[in-house]
Amino acid sequence: MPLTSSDHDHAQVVHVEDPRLDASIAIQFKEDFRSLTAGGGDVILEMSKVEFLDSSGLGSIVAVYKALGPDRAMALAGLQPTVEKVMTLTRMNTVFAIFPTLDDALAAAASPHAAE
Amino acid sequence: MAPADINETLTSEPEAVRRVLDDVRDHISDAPGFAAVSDMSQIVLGEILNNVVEHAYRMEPGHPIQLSITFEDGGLHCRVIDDGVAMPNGTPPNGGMPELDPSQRDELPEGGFGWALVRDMTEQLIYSRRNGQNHLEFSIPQPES
Repeated sequence: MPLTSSDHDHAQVVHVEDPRLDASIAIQFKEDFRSLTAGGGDVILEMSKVEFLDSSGLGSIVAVYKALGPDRAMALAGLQPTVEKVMTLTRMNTVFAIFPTLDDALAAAASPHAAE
Repeated sequence: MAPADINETLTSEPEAVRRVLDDVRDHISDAPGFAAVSDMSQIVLGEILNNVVEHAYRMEPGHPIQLSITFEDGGLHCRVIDDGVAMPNGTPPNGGMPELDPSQRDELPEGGFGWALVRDMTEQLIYSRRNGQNHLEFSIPQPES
């Protein structure tokens, strides 16, 4: 299971447990994410263990974000430098709210207007 | 003295690509002065090797891929050879970064980033088809400091 989940007051946190979010696990990532987040609410994808994100992994993050639907927010937290580089080069950093740590993301979720 | 070349032969499965990327990272981390290209080489080689698996070999496992990497003053020089089908039109995609509009969530692109990342991080990318094999050569330059 490449994903685990924990519930917090203002968001559900999905933790990526695999050091590589790539073509070899992209399909399973999408399936597991959808089943873990079926309950509704905003989501923080916590990626501090991910050392490597490729275009398939990036595509799977975009796919689950779209599948959440228009009313559920999804933020990213804890990106390592290689992952952040991919986000910047593809301009996905303009799509997702990206936080240095999970605590930062949780604080923003607790006071969404202060972060704007 | 330049670090020893890397020569790997792998088979056409995503898991094999993953193992080779780990090997390459370990080799490069032992090479003084190449830490900055290590991250980029993971991204570039991951995209290119997975492209071979997905497109040249159409996800059929068990076919050979040869990877060689030499360490040069300005960065890494890489060569990838496979026996799969040729690139469409005999040339790699130009790889412009897909357009995206953050306000159009439903329309966000889920693909098309691979070659764009490769083009962004490589120089002198040359593809040729010889004797039924695809040959792809490219350099991954050290970032300018």
